[in-house]
Amino acid sequence: MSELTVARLTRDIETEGLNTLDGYRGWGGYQALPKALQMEPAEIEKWVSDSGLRGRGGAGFPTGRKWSLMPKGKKPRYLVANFDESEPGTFKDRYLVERNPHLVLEGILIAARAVDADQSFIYVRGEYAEVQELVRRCVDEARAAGLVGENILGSGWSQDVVVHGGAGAYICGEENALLESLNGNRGRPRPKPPYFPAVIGLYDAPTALNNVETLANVPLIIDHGVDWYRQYGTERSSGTRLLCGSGHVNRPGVFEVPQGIPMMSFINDLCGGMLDGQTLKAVQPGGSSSQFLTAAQCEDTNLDAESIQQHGSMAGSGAVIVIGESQCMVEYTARLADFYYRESCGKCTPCREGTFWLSRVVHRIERGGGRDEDIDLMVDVCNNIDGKSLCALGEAAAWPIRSSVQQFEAEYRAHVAAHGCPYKKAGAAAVA
Amino acid sequence: MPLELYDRDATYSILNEEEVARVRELRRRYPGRKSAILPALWILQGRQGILTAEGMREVARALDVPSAAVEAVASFYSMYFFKPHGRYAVEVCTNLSCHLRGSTEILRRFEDRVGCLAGATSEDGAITLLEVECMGACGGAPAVQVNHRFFEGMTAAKVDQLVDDLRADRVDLHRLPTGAEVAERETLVDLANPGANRVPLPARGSAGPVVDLVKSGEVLEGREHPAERGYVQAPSPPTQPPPAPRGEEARA
Repeated sequence: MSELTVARLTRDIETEGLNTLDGYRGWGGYQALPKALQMEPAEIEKWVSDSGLRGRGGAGFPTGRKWSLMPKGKKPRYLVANFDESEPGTFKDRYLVERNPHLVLEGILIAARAVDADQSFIYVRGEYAEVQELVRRCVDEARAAGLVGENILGSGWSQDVVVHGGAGAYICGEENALLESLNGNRGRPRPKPPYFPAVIGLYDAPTALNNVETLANVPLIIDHGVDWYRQYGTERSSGTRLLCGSGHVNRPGVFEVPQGIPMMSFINDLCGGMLDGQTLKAVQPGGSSSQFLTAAQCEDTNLDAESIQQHGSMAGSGAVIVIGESQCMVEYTARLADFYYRESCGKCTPCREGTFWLSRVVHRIERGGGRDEDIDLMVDVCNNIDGKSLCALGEAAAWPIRSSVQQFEAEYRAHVAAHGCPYKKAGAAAVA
Repeated sequence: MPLELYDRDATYSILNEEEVARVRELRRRYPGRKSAILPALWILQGRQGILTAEGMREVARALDVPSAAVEAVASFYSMYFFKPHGRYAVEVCTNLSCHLRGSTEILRRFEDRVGCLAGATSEDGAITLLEVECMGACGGAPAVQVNHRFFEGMTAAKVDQLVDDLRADRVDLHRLPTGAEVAERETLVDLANPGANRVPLPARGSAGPVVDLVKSGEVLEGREHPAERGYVQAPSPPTQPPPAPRGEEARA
């Protein structure tokens, strides 16, 4: 499509029939699995560590290190693929799995081999009911071909893969909540420590929990080697990444790019520029939980974890939400606050109460009933969630809301002064 | 021999033999039997459209877990229904990316065409309209799901067409069992709004009314109410439900 993109995970992704076993074999699939079965688990782990592969779900934790944290020899142990993609703005995992599900399945099998798992699970969010059917079909196909189940490819190694459907809860994307949900409990996060599911995870056993995009990279690393993998990306963020462009752009979609391309070329060249020729107002570079970057900051931001972090935000799930001048930031933040308020599980007080009050206060400002003190109040509430909640959901609410207030304080003040939204007309015109 | 909390030979009035067998099979797939609660509840919902008290007890019986464990799980997630609903569940995403692309207008259009608020069922019992959070279709915003199939890039014209087609059963979709029949004889569990998130959506907009601190104590309403545009909130459950064909239980 463009010289900015690199097709690895997305090579020939629109090929018809790629989502079947034959199609995937024709694509070059299931070459890495026999190779991995010949390798020692520790060797696979070393390759993945050396490749510099980092988690693609949001936190960006090095995958090899995550696996190495699992206590050696402790049985049973499990592998869980996180396909509960529910961060607003993120749709890359669905895009990938809909089109190339066997790549993810092969990644799961190799990862299971690397961590010596007894059983593997794919947690699919409930809303992806149709994709879940596809994944089930793929696992059955692979089982019939001797790629899943007992004695895989005659190697003597066995692995069962279970497809587990969720039932609608944003918080189940958080690793501890996901494990609780898979355990058969309410999807509420566990108190930390222990900090890693690698120590105490599913059924209190050591568990490797990886995002499906992360796992899809594993067969490629085994197939092509570490040096090939590192050809793209930066020193700390190696390889390519699926980025989701959405919002006020002409061509929203999923693009596979080397990590570290400039934000502006992503918006202008890949996403086809701003919708209706608007000027850029702000960007959330890593899903709804990431802090806002202003248009000026976007000019010299690159889309890799370090560059985005230098500008005070995070690469998160790779969901770039582009906001044009027609959108009132207070209204946007009100919608954002509603989301976290509804999705907070209610287990810990800072998040349960904080998200409730943030939603109330920002709506009050948006509708013209706010006071000047409300602006400081919002920052104060955010500060009292940040670092004090049980899981990342609280912080995911506090970070963007605080950054919205700080970066766009003038808009909040204008709302207070005008007793209402001074931008309402412009916003309404743009979406009509 | 594991402890059997319930009698193995217990009779089932809601789940049929094949479904009980599927639930028991699920129980064997997982190292811990509680893990099978979520998929077993999907089987139950596929069967009768909604989760009822007796239905959840049967799931508990088939899994040999306390029914409190089943209800605790059921009440946490937003995709289970506890009240009868239409044979089509139209879920409109109004989260950030869809919001930027005009989902507010799309939801309002649906409310106008279906003739009820988000969270309620149309008068003819065909369509339940729901406002939902991000469904992972941000590239095709504004997006909706009908019975878990995506419809992306919605426009006012597409909304009109879709609602007409749904009413006339012209869309190639499995129809949900509405739960209306079951509701007549089973005890309903009052856990949540039908399919709404755990925090029920207030009738007057996402955050509901807020207090105006400038003009002391005055209440600021949420978004415009369809009733103010001449729409009546449909009764729920529908009084004359259409025959509810068995769903394909595609997602069970």
